Amino acid sequence: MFISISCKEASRLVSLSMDTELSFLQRVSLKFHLSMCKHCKQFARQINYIRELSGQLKIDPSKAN
Amino acid sequence: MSREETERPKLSAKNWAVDYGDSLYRYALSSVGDPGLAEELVQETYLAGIEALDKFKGNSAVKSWLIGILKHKIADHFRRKSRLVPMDESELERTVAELDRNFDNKGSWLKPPAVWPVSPEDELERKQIGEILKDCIDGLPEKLRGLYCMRDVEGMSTKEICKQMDISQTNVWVMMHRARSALRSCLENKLMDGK
Repeated sequence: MFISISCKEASRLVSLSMDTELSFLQRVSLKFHLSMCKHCKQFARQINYIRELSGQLKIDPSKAN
Repeated sequence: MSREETERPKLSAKNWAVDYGDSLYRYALSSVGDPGLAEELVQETYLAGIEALDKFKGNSAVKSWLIGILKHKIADHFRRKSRLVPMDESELERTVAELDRNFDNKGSWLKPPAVWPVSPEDELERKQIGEILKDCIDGLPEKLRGLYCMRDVEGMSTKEICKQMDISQTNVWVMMHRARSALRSCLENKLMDGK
Protein backbone atom coordinates (compact mmCIF):
# COMPACT_ATOMS: atom_id res chain seq x y z
CA MET A 1 0.00 0.00 0.00
CA PHE A 2 1.36 3.43 -0.92
CA ILE A 3 0.99 4.82 2.59
CA SER A 4 2.73 1.87 4.22
CA ILE A 5 6.04 2.90 5.79
CA SER A 6 8.62 1.11 7.97
CA CYS A 7 9.27 1.79 11.65
CA LYS A 8 12.56 3.40 10.67
CA GLU A 9 10.77 5.87 8.38
CA ALA A 10 8.01 6.43 10.95
CA SER A 11 10.55 7.32 13.65
CA ARG A 12 12.26 9.73 11.23
CA LEU A 13 8.94 11.40 10.44
CA VAL A 14 8.04 11.71 14.13
CA SER A 15 11.22 13.69 14.71
CA LEU A 16 10.91 15.62 11.44
CA SER A 17 7.39 16.73 12.36
CA MET A 18 8.92 18.58 15.32
CA ASP A 19 11.09 20.67 13.00
CA THR A 20 9.00 21.24 9.90
CA GLU A 21 5.55 20.68 8.48
CA LEU A 22 5.15 17.23 6.93
CA SER A 23 3.69 16.79 3.46
CA PHE A 24 0.15 15.46 3.21
CA LEU A 25 1.38 12.01 2.20
CA GLN A 26 3.91 11.94 5.06
CA ARG A 27 1.21 12.93 7.56
CA VAL A 28 -1.23 10.26 6.36
CA SER A 29 1.48 7.57 6.24
CA LEU A 30 2.67 8.41 9.73
CA LYS A 31 -0.81 8.52 11.19
CA PHE A 32 -1.64 5.20 9.59
CA HIS A 33 1.59 3.61 10.83
CA LEU A 34 1.16 4.93 14.39
CA SER A 35 -2.38 3.56 14.51
CA MET A 36 -1.01 0.08 13.80
CA CYS A 37 2.38 0.04 15.54
CA LYS A 38 2.57 0.20 19.32
CA HIS A 39 6.38 0.44 19.28
CA CYS A 40 6.43 3.55 17.14
CA LYS A 41 3.54 5.02 19.10
CA GLN A 42 5.65 4.48 22.20
CA PHE A 43 8.67 6.08 20.50
CA ALA A 44 6.59 9.12 19.51
CA ARG A 45 5.20 9.48 23.03
CA GLN A 46 8.68 9.23 24.55
CA ILE A 47 10.43 11.74 22.33
CA ASN A 48 7.56 14.17 22.81
CA TYR A 49 7.97 13.75 26.56
CA ILE A 50 11.74 14.33 26.27
CA ARG A 51 11.17 17.45 24.21
CA GLU A 52 8.70 18.79 26.73
CA LEU A 53 11.12 18.12 29.60
CA SER A 54 13.97 19.72 27.63
CA GLY A 55 11.99 22.92 27.21
CA GLN A 56 11.58 23.06 30.97
CA LEU A 57 15.34 22.74 31.55
CA LYS A 58 15.64 26.24 30.18
CA ILE A 59 15.93 28.66 33.05
CA ASP A 60 12.97 30.93 33.19
CA PRO A 61 14.46 34.37 33.91
CA SER A 62 11.42 35.35 35.94
CA LYS A 63 11.84 32.32 38.20
CA ALA A 64 15.61 32.05 38.44
CA ASN A 65 17.25 33.41 41.61
CA MET B 1 13.53 44.23 40.57
CA SER B 2 12.76 47.78 41.65
CA ARG B 3 11.69 50.43 39.17
CA GLU B 4 14.80 52.38 39.99
CA GLU B 5 17.05 49.42 39.28
CA THR B 6 15.36 48.77 35.93
CA GLU B 7 15.74 52.37 34.92
CA ARG B 8 19.27 52.81 36.09
CA PRO B 9 21.11 49.57 35.39
CA LYS B 10 24.40 51.47 35.08
CA LEU B 11 24.45 52.18 38.78
CA SER B 12 23.95 48.54 39.67
CA ALA B 13 26.30 46.98 37.04
CA LYS B 14 28.85 46.34 39.76
CA ASN B 15 26.34 44.06 41.47
CA TRP B 16 25.53 41.94 38.44
CA ALA B 17 27.78 39.09 39.52
CA VAL B 18 26.12 38.99 42.94
CA ASP B 19 22.57 39.51 41.75
CA TYR B 20 22.50 37.45 38.58
CA GLY B 21 25.80 35.54 38.42
CA ASP B 22 24.32 32.29 39.66
CA SER B 23 21.37 32.34 37.22
CA LEU B 24 23.57 33.26 34.27
CA TYR B 25 26.14 30.61 35.15
CA ARG B 26 23.53 27.85 35.47
CA TYR B 27 21.97 28.92 32.22
CA ALA B 28 25.32 28.85 30.41
CA LEU B 29 26.31 25.55 32.00
CA SER B 30 23.08 23.85 30.94
CA SER B 31 23.81 24.86 27.34
CA VAL B 32 27.55 24.23 27.02
CA GLY B 33 28.12 21.60 29.72
CA ASP B 34 31.61 22.91 30.54
CA PRO B 35 32.03 24.83 33.83
CA GLY B 36 35.12 26.77 32.65
CA LEU B 37 33.52 27.76 29.39
CA ALA B 38 30.24 28.66 31.13
CA GLU B 39 32.18 30.99 33.44
CA GLU B 40 33.94 32.55 30.47
CA LEU B 41 30.66 33.16 28.62
CA VAL B 42 29.17 34.82 31.69
CA GLN B 43 32.20 37.12 31.94
CA GLU B 44 31.82 38.01 28.27
CA THR B 45 28.16 38.73 28.93
CA TYR B 46 29.01 41.24 31.68
CA LEU B 47 31.48 43.01 29.40
CA ALA B 48 29.03 43.12 26.49
CA GLY B 49 26.34 44.31 28.91
CA ILE B 50 28.51 47.16 30.20
CA GLU B 51 29.32 48.19 26.63
CA ALA B 52 25.66 48.09 25.64
CA LEU B 53 24.29 49.87 28.72
CA ASP B 54 23.46 52.96 26.72
CA LYS B 55 21.21 50.90 24.45
CA PHE B 56 19.34 49.33 27.35
CA LYS B 57 15.89 50.86 27.23
CA GLY B 58 14.68 49.50 30.54
CA ASN B 59 11.73 47.75 28.87
CA SER B 60 12.68 44.45 30.50
CA ALA B 61 14.27 43.37 33.76
CA VAL B 62 18.07 43.57 33.80
CA LYS B 63 18.26 39.80 34.32
CA SER B 64 16.21 39.06 31.19
CA TRP B 65 18.31 41.52 29.26
CA LEU B 66 21.56 39.89 30.44
CA ILE B 67 20.22 36.41 29.64
CA GLY B 68 19.40 37.68 26.15
CA ILE B 69 23.04 38.76 25.74
CA LEU B 70 24.24 35.44 27.14
CA LYS B 71 22.12 33.58 24.56
CA HIS B 72 23.96 35.40 21.81
CA LYS B 73 27.30 34.55 23.42
CA ILE B 74 26.30 30.86 23.57
CA ALA B 75 25.17 30.89 19.94
CA ASP B 76 28.46 32.61 18.97
CA HIS B 77 30.36 29.86 20.74
CA PHE B 78 28.57 27.10 18.83
CA ARG B 79 28.93 28.99 15.57
CA ARG B 80 32.69 29.34 16.09
CA LYS B 81 32.84 25.66 16.97
CA SER B 82 30.93 24.60 13.89
CA ARG B 83 33.18 26.69 11.68
CA LEU B 84 36.27 25.15 13.21
CA VAL B 85 34.88 21.67 12.67
CA PRO B 86 32.43 21.92 9.78
CA MET B 87 30.00 19.09 9.38
CA ASP B 88 31.03 17.20 6.28
CA GLU B 89 29.32 14.49 4.29
CA SER B 90 31.15 11.68 6.10
CA GLU B 91 29.90 13.00 9.44
CA LEU B 92 26.35 13.03 8.12
CA GLU B 93 26.81 9.50 6.79
CA ARG B 94 28.04 8.39 10.22
CA THR B 95 24.97 9.91 11.82
CA VAL B 96 22.68 8.11 9.40
CA ALA B 97 24.59 4.84 9.99
CA GLU B 98 24.12 5.20 13.75
CA LEU B 99 20.39 5.65 13.29
CA ASP B 100 20.30 2.62 10.99
CA ARG B 101 21.68 0.43 13.76
CA ASN B 102 18.35 0.61 15.61
CA PHE B 103 16.58 -1.23 12.78
CA ASP B 104 16.85 -4.45 10.77
CA ASN B 105 17.18 -4.40 7.00
CA LYS B 106 13.40 -4.17 6.61
CA GLY B 107 13.31 -1.07 8.81
CA SER B 108 11.70 -2.80 11.83
CA TRP B 109 12.91 -2.13 15.39
CA LEU B 110 15.76 -4.38 16.52
CA LYS B 111 15.12 -3.34 20.11
CA PRO B 112 11.64 -1.80 20.35
CA PRO B 113 11.12 1.09 22.80
CA ALA B 114 10.30 -0.24 26.27
CA VAL B 115 7.41 0.87 28.45
CA TRP B 116 8.93 3.36 30.92
CA PRO B 117 8.02 3.21 34.60
CA VAL B 118 6.98 6.88 34.72
CA SER B 119 3.87 8.93 35.36
CA PRO B 120 4.20 12.06 33.18
CA GLU B 121 1.81 14.00 35.40
CA ASP B 122 3.87 13.49 38.58
CA GLU B 123 5.69 16.83 39.09
CA LEU B 124 8.36 15.51 41.45
CA GLU B 125 9.11 12.63 39.14
CA ARG B 126 9.34 15.02 36.19
CA LYS B 127 11.99 17.01 38.05
CA GLN B 128 13.97 13.85 38.80
CA ILE B 129 13.72 12.66 35.21
CA GLY B 130 14.71 16.17 34.10
CA GLU B 131 17.95 15.74 36.07
CA ILE B 132 18.61 12.37 34.42
CA LEU B 133 17.89 13.94 31.05
CA LYS B 134 20.46 16.68 31.78
CA ASP B 135 23.10 13.96 32.28
CA CYS B 136 22.08 12.36 28.99
CA ILE B 137 22.30 15.73 27.20
CA ASP B 138 25.76 16.28 28.73
CA GLY B 139 26.81 12.91 27.34
CA LEU B 140 25.98 13.84 23.72
CA PRO B 141 28.90 14.64 21.40
CA GLU B 142 29.63 18.36 21.68
CA LYS B 143 28.23 19.55 18.37
CA LEU B 144 25.11 17.46 18.76
CA ARG B 145 24.62 18.80 22.28
CA GLY B 146 24.98 22.37 21.05
CA LEU B 147 22.46 21.78 18.32
CA TYR B 148 20.03 20.00 20.64
CA CYS B 149 20.21 22.78 23.25
CA MET B 150 19.61 25.47 20.65
CA ARG B 151 16.60 23.67 19.19
CA ASP B 152 14.81 21.72 21.93
CA VAL B 153 16.03 23.49 25.09
CA GLU B 154 16.19 27.08 23.83
CA GLY B 155 13.46 26.62 21.23
CA MET B 156 15.38 28.40 18.45
CA SER B 157 13.92 27.96 14.96
CA THR B 158 15.60 25.59 12.50
CA LYS B 159 16.15 28.55 10.17
CA GLU B 160 17.92 30.54 12.86
CA ILE B 161 20.12 27.55 13.74
CA CYS B 162 21.07 27.03 10.08
CA LYS B 163 22.21 30.65 9.95
CA GLN B 164 24.04 30.51 13.28
CA MET B 165 25.81 27.20 12.64
CA ASP B 166 26.16 27.57 8.90
CA ILE B 167 24.67 24.15 8.12
CA SER B 168 21.80 23.05 5.90
CA GLN B 169 18.26 22.42 7.08
CA THR B 170 18.53 18.75 6.09
CA ASN B 171 21.60 18.39 8.28
CA VAL B 172 19.76 19.95 11.20
CA TRP B 173 16.84 17.53 10.75
CA VAL B 174 19.09 14.46 10.56
CA MET B 175 21.21 15.56 13.53
CA MET B 176 18.14 16.39 15.60
CA HIS B 177 16.68 12.96 14.86
CA ARG B 178 19.93 11.39 16.00
CA ALA B 179 20.09 13.54 19.15
CA ARG B 180 16.48 12.77 20.11
CA SER B 181 16.93 9.06 19.43
CA ALA B 182 20.17 8.99 21.42
CA LEU B 183 18.53 10.80 24.36
CA ARG B 184 15.57 8.43 24.25
CA SER B 185 17.89 5.41 24.43
CA CYS B 186 20.01 7.00 27.16
CA LEU B 187 16.97 7.86 29.28
CA GLU B 188 15.50 4.43 28.72
CA ASN B 189 18.72 2.71 29.87
CA LYS B 190 18.89 4.85 33.00
CA LEU B 191 15.18 4.50 33.83
CA MET B 192 15.07 0.76 33.28
CA ASP B 193 18.30 0.28 35.28
CA GLY B 194 16.77 2.01 38.24
CA LYS B 195 13.62 -0.06 38.03
